[in-house]
Amino acid sequence: MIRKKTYISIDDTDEIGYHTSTGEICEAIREHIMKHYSVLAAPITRHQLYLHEDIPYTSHNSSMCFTTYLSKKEREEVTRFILEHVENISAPTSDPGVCIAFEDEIGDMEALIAYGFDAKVKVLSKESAYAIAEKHNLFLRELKNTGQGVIGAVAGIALRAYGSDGRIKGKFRLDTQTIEVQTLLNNDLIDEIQLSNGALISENALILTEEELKIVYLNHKCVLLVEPDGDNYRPLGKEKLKNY
Amino acid sequence: MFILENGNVIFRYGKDSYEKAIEAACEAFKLDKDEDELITTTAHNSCYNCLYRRWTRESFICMKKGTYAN
Repeated sequence: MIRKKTYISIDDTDEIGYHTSTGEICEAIREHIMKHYSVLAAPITRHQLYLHEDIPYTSHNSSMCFTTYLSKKEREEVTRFILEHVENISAPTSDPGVCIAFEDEIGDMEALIAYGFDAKVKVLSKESAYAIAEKHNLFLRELKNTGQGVIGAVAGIALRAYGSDGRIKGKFRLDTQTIEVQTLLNNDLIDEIQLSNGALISENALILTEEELKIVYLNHKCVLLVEPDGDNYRPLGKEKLKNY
Repeated sequence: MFILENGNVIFRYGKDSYEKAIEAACEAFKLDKDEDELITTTAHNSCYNCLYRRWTRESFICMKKGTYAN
């Protein structure tokens, strides 16, 4: 059984005040895969898409994506599970889209990534999403109402594949006020700790960790961005991560 | 704090006026429970973290205020 890198992305599953969110639904799918297939799945990334009055998003227009490793048969099973799960759990007025792809089957990664960037700056049509999916071998399905979420679902895979877009879903709290860079890097959550200009900091430096950590996705890595605070460093606050 | 434009109640101070967004938070404020969509501290109620804000290119629309502005 050969497992291949698999992208899974969903969008537009909620409505104002609904009991769950696209991020939570995506997390449930990720956990299902890890539990039932004994395979690791990378953290979920949130990708901000274009904010425009002609796009019928609920409040923020973001899509969610993660990667894992599945065989062809497993992918078929997982696809069935995702379609049923999203259909059942998404909000009544939502317009969900689901996109799934094997990385090695994507026709032209550069063209797909370009579509992801378009989704951040342009109003796109459902037709364009289906055209991209067909051209680059992505499984794409709409599940309810207008199915407008197919655009964000394709864009989610494109931007995740690009590797430097979005924030990691969730926040992480440490039970310590300060921690050495090296110790924090030994934690599986974070691949790199750097300043916002990309500079890495000394492994012996101290990070102040009284606040929850929010992690961004840069160069295909989970990165904690920090700023100097006296002799130590402090994670960038929410306001400064808004554009990631 | 808000202007009425094309039937929408829009926050007049854009996306980076954190103090004003705290000041503008009204009795209808409800924290968006989707933590990934919170963009400022939760120590104070802020329209920027409210369930009823709908982001636009320049600012946000308050989906709760109906069609009046103050």
